[in-house]
Amino acid sequence: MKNKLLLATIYQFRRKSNLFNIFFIGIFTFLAILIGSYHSSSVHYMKYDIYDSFKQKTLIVTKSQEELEMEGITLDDVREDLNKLKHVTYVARFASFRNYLHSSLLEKEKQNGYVELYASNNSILPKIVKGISFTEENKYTMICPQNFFAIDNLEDLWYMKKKDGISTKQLLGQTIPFEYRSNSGMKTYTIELQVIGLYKNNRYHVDENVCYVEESILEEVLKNQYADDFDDENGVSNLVYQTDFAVQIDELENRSFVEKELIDKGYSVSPMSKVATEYFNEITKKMNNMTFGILSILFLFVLLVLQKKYKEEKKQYQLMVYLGYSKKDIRLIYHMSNIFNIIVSCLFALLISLVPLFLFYKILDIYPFLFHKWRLIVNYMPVLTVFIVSFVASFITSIFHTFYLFEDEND
Amino acid sequence: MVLEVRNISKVYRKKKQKIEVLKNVSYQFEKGTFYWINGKSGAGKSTLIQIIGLLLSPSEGSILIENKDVSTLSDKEKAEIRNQKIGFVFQSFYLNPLMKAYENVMLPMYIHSKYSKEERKEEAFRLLEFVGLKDRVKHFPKELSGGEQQRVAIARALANHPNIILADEPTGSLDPENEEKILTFLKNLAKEGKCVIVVSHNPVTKEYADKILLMERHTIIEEKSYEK
Ligand SMILES: Nc1ncnc2c1ncn2[C@@H]1O[C@H](COP(=O)(O)OP(=O)(O)O)[C@@H](O)[C@H]1O
Ligand SMILES: [Mg+2]
Repeated sequence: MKNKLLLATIYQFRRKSNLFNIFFIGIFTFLAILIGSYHSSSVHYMKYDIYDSFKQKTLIVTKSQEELEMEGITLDDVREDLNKLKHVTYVARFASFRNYLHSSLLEKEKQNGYVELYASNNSILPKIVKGISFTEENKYTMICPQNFFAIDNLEDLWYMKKKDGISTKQLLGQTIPFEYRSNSGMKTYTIELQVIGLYKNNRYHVDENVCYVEESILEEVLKNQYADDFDDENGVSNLVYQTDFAVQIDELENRSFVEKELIDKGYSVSPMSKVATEYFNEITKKMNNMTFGILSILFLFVLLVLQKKYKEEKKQYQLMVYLGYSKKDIRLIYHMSNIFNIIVSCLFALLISLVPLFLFYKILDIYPFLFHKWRLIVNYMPVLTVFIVSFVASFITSIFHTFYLFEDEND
Repeated sequence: MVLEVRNISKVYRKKKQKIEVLKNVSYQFEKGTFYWINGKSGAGKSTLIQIIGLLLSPSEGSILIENKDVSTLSDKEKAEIRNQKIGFVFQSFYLNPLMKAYENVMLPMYIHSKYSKEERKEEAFRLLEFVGLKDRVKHFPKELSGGEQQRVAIARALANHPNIILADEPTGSLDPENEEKILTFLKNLAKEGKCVIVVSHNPVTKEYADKILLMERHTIIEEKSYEK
């Protein structure tokens, strides 16, 4: 056995075409490692980003006007109450569907110029990639996404490419005039907001149209919207009846805990967003198909390479029959030499895959913000797959030729 | 008696066509004898030598090596006999181009062999020295001349000290000078007590042969009845 192993392996490197085969299978394996790792990392990333986006971590919490009156408490009391809860990081007034503002400056071919405003503060803002966060001096500022699409329906993103979005290069520092109407439609208001920062986001249909402002700005907008919207009976602005709060939670896993607490306290609670799973599943499926595609090509390739190798070596196997090797011996030597080739290919692939890994970690060191949520998950599964695939291919080749090294019709 | 073929017949079947190549061939080969099997091209010389070498099974008949019937053995057992008791030399040398001369000679020693790693190498060097290639041991086949390659092949045929040497047109692609060298080697092996069977249509072989066999009409006719 040891001798046969020696024979199978020792002369493989002297065959120049073998080095070629090893190189190509190695490159393919390397590609498979890259795709596999990209796959795993992306799945992880998307999970992290979609599931853990601020919308997932935000609850819309309400106590109706009647309940407030019955309990004899004000909205400020509610705010205080909510702020005291464990795991709650931020509480702001909220009015769903009232926070869309329009600017003709942001209208583009495929965009209708709407942005969604959310209240935020410096302690809970997402990572700023360019510009600055909120300052004391100027309240009329906003922080927009790095991947910015001025649309009122995120589902439109299905049909858009990155270039269809807002060019954020020109955006930073610009003052954008927005207009919005009062609820009755009678009055038009304008507000000018300067873009002072860009926050990190991705195209996951979660926040591509979301800009952050300070709460006072959002309150001004809400007040104006409800200014001419009076409850005739009581003669008060309907804003009074607007009692929603957005409650942001520190970690997603604490959401259900906070939800339960709030319900126990008599609030009605609903999450701001349900996960965009379709998109996520779509991407995962595409990745799976791609990996499968590469592996199928690899399988055919390995089969072809082994076929070629067998043809080149056939004469030597014939010689081995003369010299007293049994067909079983020869088949073993053939398989071992194939496996040896594949192992070297895989090692080669692993070796060259270290280069991009090294580079990636280097980049991560220098520009951590680029990948602040990105965790590289190296997937070496393809190597195992290549190995199994090659094993099967070697087997198929040997069966295909059945080692009729000497045509003997009497057998 | 080292080798005997008994009532050997061989029929090739190509599609529906039957080609009868050997018919009722019987012969006893002795130790220490140089046999020259002569005959026209297509007479069945190569077929006979492959049957003797246990590479082909006869359609009928049996082969006895050292008085033991080997024609019914399994593939594995036949392989072992080839390895231990038979040495092959061919017209086209059949060296592994990826192996150096001594590695080629070592090739039969890896299986069923009593050699250790060092002994294997030592023996290969010794055999190459014996065929006069002492300073060529580490050359690759493509760095050797035709005659030198054939001498490597002879060294390889002797690797496990077989009693039977089978050679099919061993001088077929060599010039007269190398032809003489190769045949002298084979002759010396016969003198040392081996049974050397050479298939050739080269008449020079006659000068070296102890016994001349003619293949005609699908069978062996001995020298006595060989009319020239
Ligand atoms: N594998 C085979 N299948 C069919 N016919 C064969 C095969 N090998 C040899 N023959 C035929 O058998 C005959 C004898 O061939 P061979 O033994 O090579 O003769 P020689 O060596 O004397 O020239 C030839 O007619 C040849 O065509
Ligand atoms: Mg012939």
